[in-house]
Amino acid sequence: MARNHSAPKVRAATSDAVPFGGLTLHRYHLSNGMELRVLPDRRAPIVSYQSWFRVGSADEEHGRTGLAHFFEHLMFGATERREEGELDRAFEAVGAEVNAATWTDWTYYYETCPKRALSRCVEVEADRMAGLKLDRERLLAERDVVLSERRSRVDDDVEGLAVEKLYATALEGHPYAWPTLGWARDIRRFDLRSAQTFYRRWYAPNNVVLVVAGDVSPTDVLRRVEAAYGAIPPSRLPRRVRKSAPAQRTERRAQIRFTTPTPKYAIGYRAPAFDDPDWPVLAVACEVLFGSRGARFPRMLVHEGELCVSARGHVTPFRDGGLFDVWLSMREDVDPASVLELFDAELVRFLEEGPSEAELTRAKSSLEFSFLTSMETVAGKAEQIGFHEAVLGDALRVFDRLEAYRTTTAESVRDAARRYLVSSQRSVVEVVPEVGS
Amino acid sequence: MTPASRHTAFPLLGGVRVLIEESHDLPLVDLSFGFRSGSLADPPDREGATRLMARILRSGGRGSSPAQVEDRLADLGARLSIQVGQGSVTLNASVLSRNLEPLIAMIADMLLEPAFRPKDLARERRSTLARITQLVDEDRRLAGRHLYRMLYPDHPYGRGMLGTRRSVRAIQREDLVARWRSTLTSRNLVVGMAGDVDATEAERLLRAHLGGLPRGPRTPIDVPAVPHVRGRRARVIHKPERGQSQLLIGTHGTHFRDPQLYPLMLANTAFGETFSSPLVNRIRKQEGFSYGVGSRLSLSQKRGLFSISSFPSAEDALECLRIELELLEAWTERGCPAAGLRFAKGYLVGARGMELDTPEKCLDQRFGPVLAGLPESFWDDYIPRVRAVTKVEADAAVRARIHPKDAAVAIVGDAEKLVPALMELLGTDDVTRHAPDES
Repeated sequence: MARNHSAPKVRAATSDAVPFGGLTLHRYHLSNGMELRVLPDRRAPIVSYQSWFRVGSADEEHGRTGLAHFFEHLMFGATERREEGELDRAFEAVGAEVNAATWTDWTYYYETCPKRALSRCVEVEADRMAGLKLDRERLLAERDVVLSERRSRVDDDVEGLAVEKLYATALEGHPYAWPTLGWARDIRRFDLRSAQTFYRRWYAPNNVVLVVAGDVSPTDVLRRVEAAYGAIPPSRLPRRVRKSAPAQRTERRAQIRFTTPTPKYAIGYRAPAFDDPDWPVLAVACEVLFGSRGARFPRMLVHEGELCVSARGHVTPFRDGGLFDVWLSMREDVDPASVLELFDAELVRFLEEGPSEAELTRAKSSLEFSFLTSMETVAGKAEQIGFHEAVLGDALRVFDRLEAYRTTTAESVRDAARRYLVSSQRSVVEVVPEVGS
Repeated sequence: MTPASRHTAFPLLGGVRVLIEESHDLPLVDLSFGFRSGSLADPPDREGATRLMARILRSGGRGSSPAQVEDRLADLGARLSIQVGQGSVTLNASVLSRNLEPLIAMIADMLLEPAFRPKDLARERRSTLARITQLVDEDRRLAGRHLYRMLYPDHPYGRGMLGTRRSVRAIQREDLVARWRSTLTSRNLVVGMAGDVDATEAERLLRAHLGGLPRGPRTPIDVPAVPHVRGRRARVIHKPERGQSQLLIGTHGTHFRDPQLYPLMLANTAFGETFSSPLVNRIRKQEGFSYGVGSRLSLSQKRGLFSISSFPSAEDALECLRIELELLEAWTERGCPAAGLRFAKGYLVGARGMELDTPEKCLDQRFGPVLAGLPESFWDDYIPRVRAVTKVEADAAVRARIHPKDAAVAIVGDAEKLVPALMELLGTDDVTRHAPDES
């Protein structure tokens, strides 16, 4: 399948340059709708080339779950210009690191390579955006690989299975309820027509943000990108009607049985959308409660209480609002109900008192530290730019988030926690160990 | 390739080797304190003693509690972890550069004045026993553990760092003190700092805070030769409920001072290290057997592991194994195609740049060899040595080092079905069944 295109016709319609963490980010909007971001950073002679498509598992429908992720696999296949396997070979021949990832709101493809391979990145990525060949044989082989990935990450992995059940329970009625990998029954039913429709609809210049960071010249990148992508026509993107999951008013409970030595809990509280002002405040709360060995729950349940082997928390960065999710994995001979009681009692104390000033300062330092380490490599910078463009439409929002962490107060953390970390808005999945082999 | 930072190195304090990678792009410093003695030095009935000793270091010195240590680390905005390897104990930390000195002072307190309180030992012992229990959930690690035991049956490489339930219960305070005294000496220590720090400041900080480190004896890196294990063998870790099988094939591989090192690294890259290699093409792309598949060489003082890993479905496991063995035999008998070796050279040379793009990665290139008792410049001539390998050398290295007839197989799955089938497929009676919680 290919969309024919002739000589490039399109030029950069608009452009500007803005400061980005001590560097300069060059932003271009091409007239076929493509967004290009170039961040020159000449500390090492390498380039990170990332294509962030604004399509993920939330854009799927019932019966075709997992298609966005499945399509990510198919994008490494043959094109009009390349035989099967040539894409990986072309990049690996110059030592490039090549891969892709899919989540709820985006799919991205990346190459990190020596700077001399920039022209190869441009040519190969433009080629597969417009000229991917899809056939039944390829689809069937990749389907088996995706089922293998699912077995590895979910079916034979107790945490993967419990978290899948948690999202299905907590976000029922919203596409975030189904797994990005897809339900196994849907993966087995993928057909060529669905894949072709998906490709035509979503893989187009007006649905991608291309990020190029590293030892490059912005004008050289723009010239190459215009030449390679300029004639690819935009697609008619469906109008997205997206909203939060239906309101939850009572706690939801579920249970799974699994061959595992000890009980576990996957717990999820409804969390705000990534662009909601409450999101960074809740992220600070999560850091206070779970962010280090000395944070409240790891200290209480793992290191001092010796009831759990791990206690982790995480706030999902989803466009429509996801979960503040918690994973508690218990030690042998520990009563899970008593651990949940202790967890609840400590959470009530937190909702009443909020964090101490010392806890707040530590949490902010830790988040600032994580931000700095995420910007150490050119690939890390490109990822921050691509992610914030794909989810929020603006790379510079990354600095707003950092500033929001810095200005968060103990009162705002307590107030946000009181709004979100409540039992009426939580779901609990209990893993009951089964005697195995 | 141009490194991302400026390198300096100097000796200090009675034998400490200090390596600096200076870069002021971000206000961060990565620190590594590596001691040249690891789990191989555990007494025979005290497996896990080095790991327990290292974990208790984090509990802090005599004047502080574990909780105070964690609070202080968080106050400094620092991350700290301690890794135990077969030949080393390494404390890694990262910190905002404005907090570098208080962090080094705190690390010095951990290293020089550990309390080894009985209650800390009891707590870490319970934590380790809980960790051993959790291993039952980790199929790939279980398979790896059994693979090492088959290939290194009477050798220290066959022992785990975690220890067994029995050995961990047997470890006493005096065992930890003995491991601490023999390991944490200035003659065993390599310090690395990368990022927003210069050599003058690093030297001042180390002199001020680590001056009390005893010189001690330098622990010799003395690993016995790996005896050849003849014939095929297999172990099945019995988990009949699994939908997929973690599958590992292993043989002895290479070591740091092996003249065949570069030819074998290149041949392995051509065979199964990259996504477009023949091994991955066949197992993942053509057969659709396994999402993850690849071959790997582990480098050690003596011959480390060469392995092929994959995770096919339970139904496909035997066919996947059959094809992997067939590919392995073809590789050792016929060698690598010349085009495959040219490709592997391009891959390794090009990928080198990605190993030097941060000060921390530049430091790793020097820190690792020095910690292993090798010259700091061990990897400096990497690119010319990769480029110089000929096809004759690569094929000879594979024939000399990789012996499919002596391969061991570890697999997680239904032993009732797999044991007899493996006996037939491998042509051996040496196929045994093991419980997942076998320590």
